[in-house]
Parts: sequence; structure tokens; C-alpha cells
Amino acid sequence: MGEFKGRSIISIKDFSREDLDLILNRAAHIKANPSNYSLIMKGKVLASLFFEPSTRTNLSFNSAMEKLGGSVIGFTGTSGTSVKKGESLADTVKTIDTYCDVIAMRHPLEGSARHVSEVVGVPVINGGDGANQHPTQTMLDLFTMREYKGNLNGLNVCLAGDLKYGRTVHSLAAALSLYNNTKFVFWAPDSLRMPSEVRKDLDANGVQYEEVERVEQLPADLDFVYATRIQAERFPDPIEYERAKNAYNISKKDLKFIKDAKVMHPLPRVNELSYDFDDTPNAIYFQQLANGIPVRQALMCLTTGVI
Amino acid sequence: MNALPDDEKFRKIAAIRNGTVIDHIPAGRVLEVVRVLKGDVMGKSMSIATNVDSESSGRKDLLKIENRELSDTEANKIAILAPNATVSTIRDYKVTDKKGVKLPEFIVNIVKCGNPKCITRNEPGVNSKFSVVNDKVLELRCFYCEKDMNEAQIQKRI
Repeated sequence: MGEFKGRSIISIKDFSREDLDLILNRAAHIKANPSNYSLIMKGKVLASLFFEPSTRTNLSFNSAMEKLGGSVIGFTGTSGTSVKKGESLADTVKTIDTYCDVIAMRHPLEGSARHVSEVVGVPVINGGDGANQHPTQTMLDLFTMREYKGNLNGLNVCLAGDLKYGRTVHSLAAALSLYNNTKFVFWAPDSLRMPSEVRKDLDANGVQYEEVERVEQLPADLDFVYATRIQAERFPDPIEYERAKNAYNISKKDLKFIKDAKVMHPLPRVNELSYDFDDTPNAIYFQQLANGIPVRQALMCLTTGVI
Repeated sequence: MNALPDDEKFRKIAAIRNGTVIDHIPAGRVLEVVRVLKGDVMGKSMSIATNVDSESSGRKDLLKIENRELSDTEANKIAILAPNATVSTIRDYKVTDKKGVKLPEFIVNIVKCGNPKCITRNEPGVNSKFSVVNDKVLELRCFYCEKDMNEAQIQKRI
């Protein structure tokens, strides 16, 4: 029982490299030995509170808990909940706090998970708060990269697509900066460049990055291309979205530029990642999403203190 | 009738016997300072001067709080509003201590977050809270939504 018991998982910036390594190591053990963990959460309850739509994250948390022998309560979307009656977020979660041992949540307001972690007694795992953080996605992304490369030092990573509003790329940039000699390429249209907060943190940590707008400009030695959807729901201005939505695409014909880099994507995809790319050896996004299970299992076990 | 002494003729607020004097508050900001300190000075007698002449800055505000000495923590709460303020402790009409103010670790419920999707702007009872990213060129980061604000943005949102 270590230092994670009772700790909430809110922002990737709350974690040191040692913390991340501990989580990834535990996730690797769970993935390799699932039967050792099949009853470890018996009698424990996960409250899965998804205030906005989710397929992968929601079902991944629920499945992760069930496979550990625990149970799940919760909701997806707010219809039928007291939120529709005007109840505050704090009152909603304080009620649910009494029913569960751990909360996994997704909410459209930024900072919502941090606020909830301050008002409840159980650990809170942030499944996405608006355009801010999605730390478990980052952790499964790191886990996947480590599976393919052996370790997380010295990686050359291209972050592509919606770098302005994309919480996955913000988190991933922050996390990879903790490891040695990471180099980034930011591939995005001009209107969706990486925001200043992220750049400032990279500059402060001496992390190198360059920016490109076309696939032809990608360097030849990339380890990973992390593609993201240009997200209509995050754009405050629909006209800005219309201008940007078809800004880039990865398909089989781009392999000559991507070379040996593995291509990841947090999914869902729309038209930025063509289906003809799926059967290339570079495409690892389905293996990536499957890693959500052991990573979320590790987090729930660590934060509830069962391991 | 006795005439006022010359220095009293020019003093806008009477001297206080015991308490705290906060000087060099930017002109027009003293009421915000009172709001921030409200919980610390509840029930104390206070005198306020606003837009008075200042040799160093042209115009300034001033606040005198009777019978209450502010700790460093309390005084530093106003640093975001009055970065050049001086806080003097008065005992028996004499200045016994005089210090500047320093930005605290967190700035709570003074600056409004600039992000319209921040929880602090949308849910009741969630006070704004910022950490100081850079105190030389003032930048704050929202504790909740993690967005940064520069000095110009901060001043608009106090």
C-alpha cells in the first residue's frame, strides 16, 4: 500500500516521472497476469459519472472495474439526473460519494475534476474535463509507447492535428517532457498551433520542438506520430472549425513520409486518419485503446489502496 | 479656539494610535483592498483616502485600520492589487514596523478566471484560485482549468 492511496488522478502535471513509472509498471504486471487481479476489487464500487458523451473511456473504466471483481454504478449524459433539475455539481457528487469507493468522471467544464476532488472523500479519476486534461489517456499512451520502444527516453514524437484544443496532446507533451531527450514535431494548421502555456512549459524544461504544416515536412526519424481529431465540440467559433476541419489527413500514401513511425490516435476519428491505414504495420491505435484497461485497473487499485 | 497644528491642516486622515497603515495603494483600488481584507478586519474602524497626491506615483489610495495589526500572510493577500504597497504597524502613534508585500503562493477569490469554460465561472461556491507562474512579469495560472493569464488580462479581471 503505497503513496497513491486516496490520491486523485486529475492532471498529468501532478505526477513525477517516478509516479508515472510506478503506474506503468503496475499496469504492465496486471496486463501480464490478469488472473492475479480478477477478484482484487470485490466489494468495491466505481461510480462512473460521465456528464458528456464517451464510448471508449466510459466503457473502458467500467470494464476495467468489472474485470477486477468490482461493480459499477453511474450515468452517461445528464438526462434523468438531478443535474437536469439544476443541482450543483458539488451536491451531485457529494451524494454519490456515499455510494462508492472511487469516482471516474468526465465533465465539459474545465477544472471540474479538481473541484470534485476537493468536495468528496473518495479518490477521483479525471476522464476528461473539457479541453483541459485527460490524464488516463496520457498514461495509456505512455504505456503503449513504452511497450513498443522499451523505454520512454530519447523519443522523437510528432503530435498532429488539433493541438490548440486537444487535451490529449497537451497532456502527452507535459508527460513526455519528464523523460530524457524527448523531441517533438508539432504538425498542425496555423489556426490550431500548440498553445503558449504548453510551449512555455516545454521551454522551461529545455525540450526541443519544431512546427510543420504538411506531411512532407516530417523528419525521417520519428518514433511516433500521434494523430488527433479536429474537434468541432471544442471550437468556440463554428466558422473557425469549418475552416480547419479538413486541414490534414493520414492515409496509406503518406507512408513514404511517416516511414517506420508508429501511428497512434486516441479515437474517435473522423476523416483525419483514413481506413486504408489500419492494416499497415504502423497503425497501433487499436492496441493503444486496449491498453486503457490495464492502465485504468492499475489506477483504481492504487488509489483505493487495494495494492 | 485652538488652531490645528500645521501638519494636521494638511493631513487628510487623522493619525491612528494603534493599528495598520497601508500606503501606496494604486489610485482607485482601496475599496478592493478592503474587500479582500474584509474577513481579517471585520468590525475594525477604518479610514480611507482615495486619489490623494503621491510624490512617487502621482496619485494613490491609503487605508488605515485601527487596533488591528496585519500578519505577513494577511498583508500579502493584497499584493496582486497593490504590488508596491507598504504596510506599517503603528503602536502608540509610532511606526514600529514597515514592509512591502509579496505575492502569496495562491491568489484566492480576487481575480476572475478569463476562461469562460472554467468551473469557477460556472458553478456556485467555487472561488477562483491562481498560482503565480512568473512574479517578475506577472503571470497567473488557474488552479482549476490550468489556463494562464498575463498582466494585462489579470488587471482587467480584478
